[in-house]
Amino acid sequence: MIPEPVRALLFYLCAGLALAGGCWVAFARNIVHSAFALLATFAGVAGLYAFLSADFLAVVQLMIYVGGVLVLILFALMLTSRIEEARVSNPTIGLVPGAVVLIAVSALLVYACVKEFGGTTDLPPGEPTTAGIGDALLSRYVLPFEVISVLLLAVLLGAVTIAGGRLRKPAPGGKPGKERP
Amino acid sequence: MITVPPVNWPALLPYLVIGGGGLVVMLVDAFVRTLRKDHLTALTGLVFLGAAIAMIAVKPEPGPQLGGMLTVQMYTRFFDFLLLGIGLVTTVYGSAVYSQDGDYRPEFYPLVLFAVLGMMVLVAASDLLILFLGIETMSLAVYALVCGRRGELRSSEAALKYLLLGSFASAFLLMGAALLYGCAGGTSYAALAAVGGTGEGGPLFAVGLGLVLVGFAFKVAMVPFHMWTPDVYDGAPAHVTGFMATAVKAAAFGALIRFVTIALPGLAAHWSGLLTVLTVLTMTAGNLLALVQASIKRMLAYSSIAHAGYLLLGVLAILAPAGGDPGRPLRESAVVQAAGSGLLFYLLGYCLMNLAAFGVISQLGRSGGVEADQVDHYRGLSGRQPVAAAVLAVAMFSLAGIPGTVGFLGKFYLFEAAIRAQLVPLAIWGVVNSLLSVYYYLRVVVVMYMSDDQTEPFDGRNWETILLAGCLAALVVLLGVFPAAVHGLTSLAFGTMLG
Amino acid sequence: MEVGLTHYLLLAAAVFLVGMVGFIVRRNTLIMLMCVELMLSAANLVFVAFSRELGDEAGHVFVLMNFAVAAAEVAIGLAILMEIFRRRRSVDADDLNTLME
Repeated sequence: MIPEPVRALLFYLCAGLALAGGCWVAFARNIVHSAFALLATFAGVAGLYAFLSADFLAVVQLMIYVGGVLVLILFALMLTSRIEEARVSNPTIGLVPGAVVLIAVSALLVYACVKEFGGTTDLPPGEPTTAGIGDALLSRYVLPFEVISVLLLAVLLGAVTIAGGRLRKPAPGGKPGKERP
Repeated sequence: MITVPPVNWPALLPYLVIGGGGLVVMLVDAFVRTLRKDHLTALTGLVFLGAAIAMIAVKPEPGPQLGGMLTVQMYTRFFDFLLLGIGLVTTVYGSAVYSQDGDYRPEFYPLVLFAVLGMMVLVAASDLLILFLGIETMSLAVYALVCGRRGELRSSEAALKYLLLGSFASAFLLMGAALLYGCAGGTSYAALAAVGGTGEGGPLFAVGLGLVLVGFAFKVAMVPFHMWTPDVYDGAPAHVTGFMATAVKAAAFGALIRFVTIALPGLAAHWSGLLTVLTVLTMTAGNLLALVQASIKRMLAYSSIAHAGYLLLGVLAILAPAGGDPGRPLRESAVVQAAGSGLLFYLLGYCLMNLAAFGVISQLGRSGGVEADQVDHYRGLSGRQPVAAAVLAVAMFSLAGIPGTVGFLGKFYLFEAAIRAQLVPLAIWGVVNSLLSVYYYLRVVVVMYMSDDQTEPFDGRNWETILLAGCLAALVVLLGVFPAAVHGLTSLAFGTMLG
Repeated sequence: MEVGLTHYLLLAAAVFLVGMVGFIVRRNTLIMLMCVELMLSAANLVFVAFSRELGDEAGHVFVLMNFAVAAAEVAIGLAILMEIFRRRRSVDADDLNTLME
């Protein structure tokens, strides 16, 4: 068992990593820095999962986010480096409304968190979770498991047809669907 | 030891048909080389019909399925039929559009099927997890559909914008779900009802609830979360816009109504004040902004926001009595019953009239890379295509709420329920708003009939689309004159949800 | 110094808010997508913390599903982004062709 002060120190390290990384993602000027800061955030959050004895999720977080999502984002970054300021046809709401929303939501969240669980609570000791998750996925949560597979199939289909224009076969008797050179 | 919950196959049959059908359509397109696109349309249509027949032929025991993840009852069956119908109509519209364009888009068909499956699951959800996954399946499939016109920057940009704001909204929904999970100790509606039904949840519960409602507000395009609507409706191809305006909105409202009535009858205590303000804003902003639009798709986008406002009025009418007397079960209240059946009736009518309108828009085809978008493009349409003009006119009359159409009756039921729920000022404001809306709907009719300019370039014709739109318009009038049977049905359907 | 549920909730709230503000003030679509990922991570953290507190695996299953959904959103988003990018570039190329004629 790790002594309490060390635990606390580790927690604040992970929390700091996640939060600082998050700030950097959101406010860095250089987009590549943002992408790498996202890595720090994901690592910090994975550490926190481990802390909460969610061992399986910590590993999956590293594999999916760092190994998958982040690499995808980096590829997109490199491939589309020329659309730094990709135009979204409508401007987002500006700084002032942003600040107002921020203050309102943060006040609400902080108030609620502190009010509900004032002070600290002892967390029960954790146990390995992998077997429990596996059982849950095949018993009580079998329907979500099926629905998410449909979701992934739809996304696969959508993403491939949106991005992979060149694979299109011509319509029999019609013009080819692809007009691009 | 794994114990699989009992599976009630008859109840799940429609979902299996749609999901399996989507797979089959996908694989057939990939592997059958001698395929013509009419075959895919026919196959998709058969899947929709098969699911509908499965629902009529197999009468399962209603109730929770698969350990309480999903509830099948007459209420969800009502929405299933509605969504299947919309999916079928969208398939026919879309196939007509793509054959007009000479474009081969095989992914359109399975994506519509998967989106409809997501919507059906969303409405039937009895657990926050299924609610979330249903919303995401629906949304992700629709993002891909919006991007469905290759070579048009407008539709890709609309899709990107929709995706960004949609995933922003799902993050709110998810955070809310996380807080609710923590407070209620579970994610099922039953667990939420145990805490929220009494109106005694703590502040964290209330915040979680608010965040979940923000997620819903994006999907139903409620002010101030409506910003994406006009751009996305405008940028997407007209048949997809029709799908979004009807199916997405119907499914989101179907799930919202179930969520608030089952899980949280005590909601009014926390949020009804804010909800009232937002309802008024949604109605007013939608109508005022619709007044100044020159583009018919943008006008219909703002009109859909205004209609979301009227529907929210119905939701408020459901919540009002519960807020006044939290201890009393909702099913004993005649007001709740009236508001609920009014809501379902209104949603049905809303879908019929919008689908008819978007059918006409999409069949006029494209010219110079754009659709018949400006109101001016409809100048003298009655001379060139009398049937299309008549269908569009009926749809506009109904959207405006002219007596003799389903739009009028829907509003009548809703406003009447609101008055009975002692929301008189809100109901009056709704009537004022719908009078205001007459101007911009009738402007389209005036342009079509009072001017005989024959030079407009948009003159696409497609008999399948126009036949279908004509049938929908006929239904709009038929239900406007003889509503009794269907209204009885909606009333029964809503009653089953209250239990 | 003891670390409890409140700490996790406050941290998650902070990360969520950073993501939200970033989404609202930034215009770069990739950064906006990353900010959504931040918000989703914050929600996941809340799920795991509560799951630990309640001793119940439902939160873990929810988080597992969120991973898949988040990855799916990024996949579709980047596909659309690539399509827009390609289109922009090819539009330029078309312009050049017209000038040459």
